[in-house]
Amino acid sequence: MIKVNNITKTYGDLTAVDNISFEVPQGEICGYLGPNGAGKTTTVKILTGMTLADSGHASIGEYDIAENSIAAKKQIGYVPESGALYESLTPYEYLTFVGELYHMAPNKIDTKIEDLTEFMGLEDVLHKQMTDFSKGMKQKVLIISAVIHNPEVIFLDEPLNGLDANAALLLKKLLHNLTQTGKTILYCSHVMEVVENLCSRIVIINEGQIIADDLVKNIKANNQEASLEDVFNKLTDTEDKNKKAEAFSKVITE
Amino acid sequence: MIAKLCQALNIDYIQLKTLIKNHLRIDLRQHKGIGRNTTTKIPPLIYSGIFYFFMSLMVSISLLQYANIFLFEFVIFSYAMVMSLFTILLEFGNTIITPEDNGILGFRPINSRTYFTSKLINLFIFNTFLTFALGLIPAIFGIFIQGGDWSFPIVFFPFLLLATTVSAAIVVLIYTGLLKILSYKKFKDILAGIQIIFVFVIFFSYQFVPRMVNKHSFSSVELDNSWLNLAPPIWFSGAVEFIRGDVTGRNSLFLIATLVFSVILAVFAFRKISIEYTQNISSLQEHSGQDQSKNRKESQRETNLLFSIFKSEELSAGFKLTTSMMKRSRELKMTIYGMMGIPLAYLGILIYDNSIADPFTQATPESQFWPGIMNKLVLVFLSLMVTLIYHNMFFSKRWKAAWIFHSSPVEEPGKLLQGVKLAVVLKAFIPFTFLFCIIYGTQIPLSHAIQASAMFLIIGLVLLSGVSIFTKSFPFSKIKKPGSKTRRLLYFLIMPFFLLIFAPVLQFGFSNTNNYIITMLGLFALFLILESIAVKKTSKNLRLN
Repeated sequence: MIKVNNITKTYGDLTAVDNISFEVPQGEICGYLGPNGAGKTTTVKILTGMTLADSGHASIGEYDIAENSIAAKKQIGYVPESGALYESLTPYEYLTFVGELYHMAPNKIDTKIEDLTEFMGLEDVLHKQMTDFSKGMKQKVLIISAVIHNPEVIFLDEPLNGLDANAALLLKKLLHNLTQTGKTILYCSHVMEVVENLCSRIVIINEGQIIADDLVKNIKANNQEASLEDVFNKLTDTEDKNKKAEAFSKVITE
Repeated sequence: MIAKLCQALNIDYIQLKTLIKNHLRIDLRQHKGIGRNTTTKIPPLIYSGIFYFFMSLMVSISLLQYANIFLFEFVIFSYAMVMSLFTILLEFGNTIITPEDNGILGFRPINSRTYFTSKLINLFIFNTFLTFALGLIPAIFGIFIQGGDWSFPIVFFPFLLLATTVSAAIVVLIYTGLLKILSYKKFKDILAGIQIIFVFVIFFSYQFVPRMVNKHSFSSVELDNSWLNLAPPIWFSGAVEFIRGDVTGRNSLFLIATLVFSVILAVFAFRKISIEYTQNISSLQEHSGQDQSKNRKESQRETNLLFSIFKSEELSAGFKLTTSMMKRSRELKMTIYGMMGIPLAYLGILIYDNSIADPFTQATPESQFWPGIMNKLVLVFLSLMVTLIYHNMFFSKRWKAAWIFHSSPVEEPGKLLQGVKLAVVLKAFIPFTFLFCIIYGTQIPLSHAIQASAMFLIIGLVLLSGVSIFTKSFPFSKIKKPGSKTRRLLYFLIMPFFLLIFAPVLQFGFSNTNNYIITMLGLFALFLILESIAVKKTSKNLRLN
């Protein structure tokens, strides 16, 4: 469903993504991991049509994202890490706006907003401007806006940001159910525990290059580590964390 | 029918409607910033409307007794077109270029042309409101001008709307054209330059047009100059006269030129610009920050020096933040230099009028009272600029970062704001005073120019401290809405009437050297008192906030 072929993207002297390729078949939830600045968000921006790759191809379903971007974009939902939304609108106005952009019928938009906001516990603030919302409340609105139009492919960039434990659990269950209905999900995160529990397969990117792409159990076995966190640390950072933490706390308490 | 037209133009009608509705809702809705006193009560757009209403009233009055209908139309069209350019450059640039939209809409299935059209229509709605404010008085005055009658407003107003729309379209083309060929950094730099020039041109022309009319008593014969036929405002004037029944060959040519020009602009915008528009917008966000390490040492020296003088970390913090923002925020630079453009344009007008006189000789008993006073009040009027620059230090696109002031243990917020004022004075006002002194020095003896500039500086400090007493926000904690810059221009036009209070002080100060010294010391003492009140009052205001 998601295909990435030899994609490269540079910003000035910085190569954010360097000739990467991977695929995510329909109905799979794939974890996309990497340290800060590794190239995760750039990859997702290319796949969602927000920016163009310098070279290579990416497609969603049968549509090439650069050549047939509108058709490809109709297939996707996206929760950006930036959490950007129009805060001076109310959740109802924002979600109606999103629904209309996907040509949904007005009564269907209303029904979906009502149901989805109730699931997320937002029904009491549905008609309040989002300027005073907590990060978690805005994140819930973003999650609803990513799925309201029933997309085939969902990109989630740190979707648990700001969510409380109950909402996070609800989202994880929801994602599991969605994959069973045939939705394809690319899940970007730093939280290894969640990725390990949620995703059967992971792709790890570091300094713009893919350094691992396999089932979670295979990656752990190949690297002879017990947890995904240890594997991630081994592959992306060779520093001794204990020593570093010790030095850091010394600076703070000086 | 509109849906079919949209379909033919590859515009998604449903998306277009929802985008327009959404953008208007966002632009017009009251904004809540960080803190208690940051809610905007009156939409700044209303201030723009009031400002343009008064400006057009002044221009119309100045034309009433001198002009015939054709000249009247020509001046009003020129004025309205330039004002429209100015407004969009200064206030509504964000209506056309909104890089932030890419993060929210970039992954939605909206084609470039639909998005571009929604932006254009949004701009058109603002432009229509402002054209109404600009055109209402001239439309009525036109009935009473030589050659005018009751049909004038009916014909004039649609053409005025077309003229300002053409102006707006030219800005859009400049913006989007630059966007296509330049990097983000260069684009912003060039835009800053254009804005500063326009502020200068607008203020200069607003003063200059009535003077030209008064001095030369223009007639329509002078408008027959062939070079003038190339100026779009004269085409619109000819088109209005043609429709009103003056069917001459020249007017019919002007009507054709108007229509052809408008159509070419519309077609060009659609065929060339709209297709690549979203891609160009998304590229605006693809830039990396500059390495500022080389400026670190200089900045550190400055801060250490300040701390050794004022012994306040809060003052140093306010100063450092403000100077950094003044150096790096293009939005702020555009506003500051724009604000400096107004007094410079005003000085240009005074030189043109031969009105800059030596304030010392003008204060002798035999000199006339009013010309002497007005000449000196220029010092007060121009020094208002420093208060406007200070006012700008409370707005930022990154206003949300102001949470830091509310969560930090800031004991004396007034000191923090003192740092902001110090940065404004050292980095903007003193350099401007130096420039002011040089310009003055070309007109009056240098020693007098230096003394007048010193008086200008001290008056600016008094005004700044006085205005800062009423500060109720932390720096860079509010968001700017369209129209807020014009609101400050309105303040610039109204405030001088309140500043007549300085007249006796200045008359006394420039009467001889001893009185000058006494006045300077008196003003300096007033500045220290006001500053002390400001620190206490703002600390109280912001602690409660």
